[in-house]
Amino acid sequence: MSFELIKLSSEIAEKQAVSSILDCNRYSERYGLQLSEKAAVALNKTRMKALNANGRIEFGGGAIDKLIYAFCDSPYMEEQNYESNLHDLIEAFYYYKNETLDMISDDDLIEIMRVAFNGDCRGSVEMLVETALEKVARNIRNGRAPDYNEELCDSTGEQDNDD
Amino acid sequence: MTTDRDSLISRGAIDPSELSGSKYFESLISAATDRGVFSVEAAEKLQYELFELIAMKTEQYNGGFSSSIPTELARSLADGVAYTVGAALKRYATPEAALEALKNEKLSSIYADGKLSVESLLSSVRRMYPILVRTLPDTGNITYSATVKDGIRGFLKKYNPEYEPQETIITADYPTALPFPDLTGVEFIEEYVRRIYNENRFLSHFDAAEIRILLEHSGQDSGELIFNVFSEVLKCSLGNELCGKNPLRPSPCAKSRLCEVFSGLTKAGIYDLLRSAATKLIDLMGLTNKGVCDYIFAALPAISTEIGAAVGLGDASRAFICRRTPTHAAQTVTVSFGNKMPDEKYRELIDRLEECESFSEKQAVIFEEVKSLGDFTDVVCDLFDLTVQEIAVLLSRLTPYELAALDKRLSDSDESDLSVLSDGEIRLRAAIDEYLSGQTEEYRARFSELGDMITIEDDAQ
Repeated sequence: MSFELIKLSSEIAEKQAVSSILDCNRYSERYGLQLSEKAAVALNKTRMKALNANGRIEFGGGAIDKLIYAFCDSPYMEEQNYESNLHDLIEAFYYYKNETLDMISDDDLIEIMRVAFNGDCRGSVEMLVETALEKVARNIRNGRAPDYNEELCDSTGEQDNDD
Repeated sequence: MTTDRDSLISRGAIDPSELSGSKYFESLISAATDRGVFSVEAAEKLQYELFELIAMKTEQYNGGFSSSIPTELARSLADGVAYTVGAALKRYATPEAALEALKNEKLSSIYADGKLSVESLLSSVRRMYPILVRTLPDTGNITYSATVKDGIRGFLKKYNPEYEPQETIITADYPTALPFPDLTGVEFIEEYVRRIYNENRFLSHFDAAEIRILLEHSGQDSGELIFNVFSEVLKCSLGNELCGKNPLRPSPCAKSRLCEVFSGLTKAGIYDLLRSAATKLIDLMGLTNKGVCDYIFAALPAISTEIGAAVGLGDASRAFICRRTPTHAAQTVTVSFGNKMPDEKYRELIDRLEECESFSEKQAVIFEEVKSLGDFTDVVCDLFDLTVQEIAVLLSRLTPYELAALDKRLSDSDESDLSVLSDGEIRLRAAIDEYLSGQTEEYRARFSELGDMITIEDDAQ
């Protein structure tokens, strides 16, 4: 008998996760966005792959439904890019849970992602990863607050020097 | 597909010794599965319940902060759940009974029982620890005191029964007398503390300073060496008991007498002898605590093996602490018992001493007329009305070398067996012990070293 957790997680949680993703359609459809069962299975596979790649494990449906609820009302989410964006967001989410040393809760990390995606990143997950998320991770690794702004402090320092 | 747990009914005994002490739950399921006692469906159902438990534990640990955790942390939580379930299952009389419990009860209920077991063991450690610290004999062994005082305290501070019950946390460097079973976490610590408690109860019957001196003779007087003090003192006690010496004085054993006692014995014969000596020792000590008595008897097989090996090498004394011989010629001091007075003069002296009306008068005559250590020994032994205390007073007037020579003569030779000593020699032996017991620890340590340095010159008549 094997108590291999990863195997346990994938076999027992998969059904829960797919079901949980499909449940989100009831909310996302008001924004014209829906996922098929096939898409839900694929997203769950991406989740499992991301968990595995980042040495993490999840019991239950995971954070996908939270990501869906946070992003489905984004002005940059459309039917054409909805599924592909979710794949990229899932990968980014689990990667940066490690990069932020587990010091940010799921809800806070998703909020940071949502604000940046809808703001400066203008719907680009690639820019989200390279700018906002990288900055948060760097701040945390340097012992600073997640929202610490390096540029603001640098410019303040230059002003002082000028004086 | 059958999902009930009827297939858990045992169809064959599982040998408890096959099961892991540290991973009892996993090894029980594995053994049951190997024997076909556990169907695949039953195993999967159990896995599912275990998964639910681990998920609950993770949620509890996380407090909803994250839906995912690092795999290592998840494994640790899973190990903790398995450990706690195992703690509950161990309380069943047999592995089959434990499997029946898995059949009939929800895993979460067994887990709850396990938590109570873990808490109970932790409470036991908390109760025993202050007693241990209070009664710890000062043997000079740093590992002993560091492990018992600081190590256990560290465990009590850091142990996390809720999430990491399987962690032992400390290394427990100080070895106990008995080989340790496969245990971890609080089960290990509780068993360890209980053993130290039993060992301490035994050691409390001996003078700590004398234990230190004994260990010096073994060469294990470096406080940093790692060895079990109880085993050494028990061996010494048993050896002294068998050699007719006082088993409650942890003094080095007489080599030749030991060889005689164990000569030609098989391991079983050695064990029987030790068992008999241990029974007498326990009686002499007035030990009534069953745990301590059982512990002493449990230590005998290993001691028998050690002695058996030494007998096989032709020298039983190798297994015991015997008096150290001087290693440098420059440190050797020769003491002579001197020339004895002629027999007629000796008889006149004895007559004169028997007519003395007080001890002080006798003392004055002895030190006026007696010029050799040999004559002193004879006079003390032949004056039957001298008490042990009076002899001790006489001994106080000897030089340390003379006294050490007397002590050595009555300790090393075959005559140290009280059954062959004369009444006078028995009183003299007792007087030396009485005198030494009244001295400081430092004096006794120096005296012991002196004994190692002395060689005795043959008497000249």
